Amino acid sequence: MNKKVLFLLAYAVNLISSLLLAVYGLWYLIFIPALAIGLIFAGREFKASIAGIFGAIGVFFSILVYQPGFRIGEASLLAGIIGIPFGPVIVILIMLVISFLLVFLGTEIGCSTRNWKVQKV
Amino acid sequence: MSFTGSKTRFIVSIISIAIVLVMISVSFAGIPPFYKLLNPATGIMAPGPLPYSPGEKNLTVNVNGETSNIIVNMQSDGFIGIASNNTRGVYYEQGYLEAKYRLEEMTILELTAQGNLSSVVGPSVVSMDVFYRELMDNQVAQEELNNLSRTGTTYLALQYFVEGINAYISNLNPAQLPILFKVLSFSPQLWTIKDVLEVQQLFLWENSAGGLDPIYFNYALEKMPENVVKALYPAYPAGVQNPIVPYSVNPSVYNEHGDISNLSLYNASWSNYTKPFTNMGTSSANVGGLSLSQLLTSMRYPYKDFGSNDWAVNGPLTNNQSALIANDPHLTTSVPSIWMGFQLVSPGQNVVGVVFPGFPGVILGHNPNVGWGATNGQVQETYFYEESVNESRPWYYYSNNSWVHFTIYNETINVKGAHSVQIEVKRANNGVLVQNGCFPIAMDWTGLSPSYEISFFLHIDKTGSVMQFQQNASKYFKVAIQNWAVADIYGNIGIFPYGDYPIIEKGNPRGILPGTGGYNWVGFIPINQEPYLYNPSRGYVFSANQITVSSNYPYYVGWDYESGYRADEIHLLLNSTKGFDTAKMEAVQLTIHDYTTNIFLPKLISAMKETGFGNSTIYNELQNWNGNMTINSTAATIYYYWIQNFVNDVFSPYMTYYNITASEGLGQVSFFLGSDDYYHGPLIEDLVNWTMNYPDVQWFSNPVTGVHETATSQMMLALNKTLSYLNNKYGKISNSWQWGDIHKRYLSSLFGINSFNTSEIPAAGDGNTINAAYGTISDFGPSWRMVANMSHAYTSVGIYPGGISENPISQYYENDFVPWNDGIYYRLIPLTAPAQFFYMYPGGESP
Repeated sequence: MNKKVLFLLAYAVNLISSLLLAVYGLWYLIFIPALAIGLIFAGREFKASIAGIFGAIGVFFSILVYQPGFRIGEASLLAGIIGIPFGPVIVILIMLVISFLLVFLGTEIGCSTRNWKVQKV
Repeated sequence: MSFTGSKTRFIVSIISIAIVLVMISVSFAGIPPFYKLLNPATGIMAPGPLPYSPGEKNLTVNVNGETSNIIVNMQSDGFIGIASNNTRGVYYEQGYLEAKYRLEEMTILELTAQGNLSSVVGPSVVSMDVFYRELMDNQVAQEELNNLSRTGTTYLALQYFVEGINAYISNLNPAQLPILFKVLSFSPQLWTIKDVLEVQQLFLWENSAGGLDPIYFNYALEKMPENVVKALYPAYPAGVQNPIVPYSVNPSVYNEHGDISNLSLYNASWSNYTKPFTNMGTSSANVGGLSLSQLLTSMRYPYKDFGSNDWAVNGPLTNNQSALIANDPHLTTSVPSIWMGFQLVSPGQNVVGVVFPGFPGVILGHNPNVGWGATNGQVQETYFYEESVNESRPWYYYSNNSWVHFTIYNETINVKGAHSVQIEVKRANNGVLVQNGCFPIAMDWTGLSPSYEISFFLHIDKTGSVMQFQQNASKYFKVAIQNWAVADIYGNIGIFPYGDYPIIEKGNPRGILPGTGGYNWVGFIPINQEPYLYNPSRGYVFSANQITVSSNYPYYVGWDYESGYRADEIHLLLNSTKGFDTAKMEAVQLTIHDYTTNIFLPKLISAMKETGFGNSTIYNELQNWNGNMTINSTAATIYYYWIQNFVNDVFSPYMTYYNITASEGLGQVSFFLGSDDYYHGPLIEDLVNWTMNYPDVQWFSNPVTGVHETATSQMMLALNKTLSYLNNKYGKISNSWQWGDIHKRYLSSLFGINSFNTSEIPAAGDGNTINAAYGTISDFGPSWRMVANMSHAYTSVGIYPGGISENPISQYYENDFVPWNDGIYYRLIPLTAPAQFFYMYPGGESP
């Protein structure tokens, strides 16, 4: 398979798996599929890091698919309670940054594991 | 990020992800872990429950083998109609819907009443929990529960109501918990009947007038000579007052000897100023570290407000056509509101009105036969005693020549994020210790004994006449005395400030009494001597928190009332209006004329003329003003600041001279120049009396500087100060001085979260207008307005500010705020409602 297509497919899988895990309440486990996906990106750290963005997008989509207004509104309420500015923006940003880090680091682990094995062989 | 090799990258990644996972798993600054809080499926951004949606629904509910057919009619103004073919169904559904739309509010009230708030919120509210433990809500509620007949109306209604609450809580998906619960990591517990009774105790306390007044006022009694106390703080107000039950209208309750002639109302009965309370904080650590100052803070609870109007008219004022009732209780206008609106229809019952979330039934409203409203009686329901305690035997107090063991309750307060707090609540025969240490102070409160105000509400919801209402009030309503104004379908009206009025044999109840036994309560005013009016020939009854009785009433009932200007305005309007109908009642309720302008404005204008201000713009503004606090009036702004300065300028030197300090209540209570002193308490009434009758009296002079002053000179000093302030803040007189630019209303978050407040909107009125809006940025005013014409009560109207939902992002959170501010009323039983909601009215059907 063409590598480009493979990578695009990996990104798509990453996005969908993050979305599904977020919908089913297992948001914090989104790094697990990323581990497997990381194996595809051996030696391509930059491309692997992009997977993190797709993971974050998947999580964000999980909010948008159902009652987006209510859910973003609730983020805004949380910001009000704890006293942070810009309405829901920072709260959602924190969630997206965490999502990015989880997927990115998961991908990195997968990616480096494969490299490591290859070098050992 | 750069890696030197795959192994390094692998290790760094593993460590990094571990750090991220740890970071999102720990809670900091009281905020739950991010993995929970930000979880899109279960955290704060989880999908919510179905929002409030106006419309009609038919339900069948089976509980404990009883099937209820229920119709729920949800209105766009947030009122909910519930009709059921049996009693269980109606209270069950009310409990269910209260929990559905106000679970946060109910839970906070429940935890507060129990003294358990710190278990959820943390150490910041421990002192409040200590105080509510000392109020013994738990023990009193248990006694009340024990005394309730298991087959009686009250017990069954509470049982059905709690079943409904618990049905909602049991089926609640954790992901759909309200946001505050998620932020506090709290899951609501199932309710019991006792929980409802504890919430009853909370509201009784919050609506019991007097509070800590005797503790504060003891400072005045100790520090000021008797002639000053007599002049500044007469036991009976010296100003213009129209009592609720004047001697001239019902002399029959003025016949007995009473207790007032045995009391000494101008001297301290207990005096120990050399050892002030404020030094006692540390010595009281054994009751949870609660010092007096903390106690004062904990008692300033957001619901503790006293100001309201109610009146009923009949006979000559309605062309003998009908009896009408109007009511607007003034409380904190909060979001969510402290009210929920319900119409409850079941066999033998069709009642509509408002209720506190956590209560079944309707508290203020009407049924097809009787309509009722309430204002706070502002009578004294707390008495304070200094107990004599032997330091070597701290569990004993001295009473009636012997040492008596306190009844001791050991309490544990669990505190979130801190060690639990152990306290001993000590109860004497004259109250419960609220201040421990070298000078233990006991507070006796009528609510420390079981009472059944919920029974009262449940009974009046079905009552058939004013007379029946009176019987229920005399039987069940004991604590947090209210002026119940009532009208019925037969054209009768009445007003009943019924409840337990304590009697003592000697001493000064305005201050702290000796706890040695001779000053304790010896009973309550007999019911046949309690003030009331029934069908007075003048055709109206009214109250606005003014003094209850005329000066020759034989019993002491209190002294620190609202100053009576709203009452005077109502009295004036009721005397000058004929042919009352719903529209005319609404017009009175929405009046924004400040009655004090009738008294002071001519004097001020005259003083301005005398002192050479006769040609000024300010003079013209004030002279052409009619005293209405409208939003486009600049004179209203000048007058508002002027009256405050007038009161402060005259009395502040006395506070300084007699060394009344902030820790003793200066600036906090009306008799020591609190923010409410221009509409509440004795000082403004003194000023009216002196300005009108004794303009050169010595009390206008400054005791600190010795400068001789008169009413005229003080009025002009206050005016100069006012103009200087307004010029500095808003520039020269212009549209920027308009009252609506300065005076605004908003609805404040019930939970104290500023971001949950509504926006501020220009508002008319002030603290002395019938349509009251206290302060400049006001969250205090008519929390509910109702007008009912009892000859066709189904046309009644009402509104409460805010909305049904407690969620700030709901469109039903504040949807009634602007209409309420604009003076809009809604039909309480809409014409489009199903026929069952007109049950017991012409054309109605059985539920």
